[in-house]
Amino acid sequence: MKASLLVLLLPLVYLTSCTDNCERTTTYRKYTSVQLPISDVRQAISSGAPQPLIEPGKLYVKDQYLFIVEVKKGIHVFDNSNPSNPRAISFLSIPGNVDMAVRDNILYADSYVDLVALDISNPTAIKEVNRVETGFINGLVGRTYWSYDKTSMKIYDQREEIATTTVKTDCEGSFNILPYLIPIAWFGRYYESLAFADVAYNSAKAPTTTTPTTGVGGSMARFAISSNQLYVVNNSTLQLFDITNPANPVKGKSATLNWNVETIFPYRNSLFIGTTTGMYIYDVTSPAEPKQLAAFSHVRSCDPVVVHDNYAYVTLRGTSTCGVAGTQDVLDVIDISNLSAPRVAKSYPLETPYGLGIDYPTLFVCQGNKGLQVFNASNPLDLKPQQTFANVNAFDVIPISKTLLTIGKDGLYQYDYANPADLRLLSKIAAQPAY
Amino acid sequence: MKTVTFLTLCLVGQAAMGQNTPTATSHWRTTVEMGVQMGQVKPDVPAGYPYYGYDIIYNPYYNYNYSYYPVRDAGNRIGLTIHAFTGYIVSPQLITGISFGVDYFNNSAFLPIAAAIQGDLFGRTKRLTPFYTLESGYAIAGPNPHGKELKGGWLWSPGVGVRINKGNGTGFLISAGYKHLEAKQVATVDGVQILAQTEQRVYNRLYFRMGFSF
Repeated sequence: MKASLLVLLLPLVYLTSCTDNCERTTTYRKYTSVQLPISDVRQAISSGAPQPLIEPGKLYVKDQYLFIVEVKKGIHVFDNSNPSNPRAISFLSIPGNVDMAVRDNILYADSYVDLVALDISNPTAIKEVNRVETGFINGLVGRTYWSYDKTSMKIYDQREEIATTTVKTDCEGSFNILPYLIPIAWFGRYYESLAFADVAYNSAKAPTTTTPTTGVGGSMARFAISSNQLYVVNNSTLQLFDITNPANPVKGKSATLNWNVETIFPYRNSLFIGTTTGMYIYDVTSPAEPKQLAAFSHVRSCDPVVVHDNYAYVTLRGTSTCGVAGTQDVLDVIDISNLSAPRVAKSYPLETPYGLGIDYPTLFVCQGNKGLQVFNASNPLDLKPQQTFANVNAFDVIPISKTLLTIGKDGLYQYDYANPADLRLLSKIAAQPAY
Repeated sequence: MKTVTFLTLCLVGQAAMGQNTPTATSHWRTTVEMGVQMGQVKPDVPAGYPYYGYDIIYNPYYNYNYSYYPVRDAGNRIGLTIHAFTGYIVSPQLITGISFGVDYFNNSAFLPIAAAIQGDLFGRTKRLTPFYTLESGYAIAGPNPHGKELKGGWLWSPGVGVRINKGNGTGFLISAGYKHLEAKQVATVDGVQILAQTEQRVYNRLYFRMGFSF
């Protein structure tokens, strides 16, 4: 009996502590300040060994070559002569790069404050031929912001990563409201009930600092080439470069745009500039002197734009960092037969639309995590969904000579769309997301 | 309200069970107790971090003592506990059954349901009988500030007490013991800056309860 008593009392000996042990594990985006001397940024660029895709950004196709931006890191170069088997050629390390365009044998890429011209006549040995200042001294890339300080000659940038932290807490959680204030204060709490009021009051104030700032996501610089001009848009500026001599871009005029610019799409003699609050139409009949024809405003959202004939297709994505809460996700068809007076012809509700591409009569719309949707746009006022790919992640798309290239978080997909009703997967270049 | 209904049903059930069998030769024992449970908490850390704005970088090792974030001190906590047990008397030294109740920990309540054993210590049943109790089970999250975010968890609780027998199969109880209860809060996050947040909770309490058995 004594032995059994001992066995029963042993657990009590083990009870050395009456202190709660609570650990809160948080996974969050961590931003670290990075300072780069401008001299480091301006190191001459040349091709290096191919590298795996980690965070793919913009996609560009020139002849049989495929260029994929590695956001803020550089450009991957692929030989895509056989779309079923793209071959990695090289990687160009370009700090701060988000966008690019190609004229003849010259690739233009941005690198923080600079526009770099690279000779790609031999894609295995790409070399820098020129560099001009864009005049942009700050910018937003995804959720990070960079700026250039002329006096210290340094780029101040942020590195984003996913971090996890574990902290010990008092087991009472973080909360905004206390629905059981009274009974719990009565039964469960020892210390002054004012602590509740304090928490509730203070957390009500907290959102001023914890609401995601709008206009951070997706507002990358954009490039477009039309006749002898390279148009580069920053958040709020349209900058022109004369590329009559491709190897020697000359800085030209600039125009101020009031809205957060997202995309630029040249079509015939016009430039369509998609912004978070609307679409600008510029006449570039005289390429060096763009004239604003129309500013077509809509609700605040992300909106890439493509154009075919008399219709512009604009996707508005409200549910993101650049939209406002409650904005609807739609695909708008805009009648632009009169360029100075565009009007919405038809609106189609569509979940999380990102980039889009058109090869008349087929329209391709990316839907981020929701995949890719193919429409028959022979009658723009009556788009017919033809096919949906739900299992790809796509944010931008390029349809080119019956090959569709889509780029997303998980990499680049190429489809054969000879039969638009039945796309056939040709190949995939997988990305290895850092997180 | 749900808690009240639950408890009422439990008590009614027990009363019915107790009345089904003659008290003198009863094979069942039911105890109902109420009391307090006490423990300590560690100091709390800031609830969030100032990651918005361009040049404020979060450092988890730096104590952001901003006024808008509560930093609560370490301290003592005391809460109500209500406990009921119903079991079959295998022998006076071993009564097997189930227990349930309501426990208040800090600002969250739990409804524990556990397999339990009780029994008299020292072999003989006298007017003043020491007894032990041991239980292990699952605690369901009750009323709490986090609603469905808070999930209950495993619990175990040993204890000892003294029963003052009234002679007709009923008795008055005083008991004390330890309670270990685990829970988890999966917080709702914005998905943009904070991607996931989980709080693993382990409550350790000493309890003192009084009640009666029949």
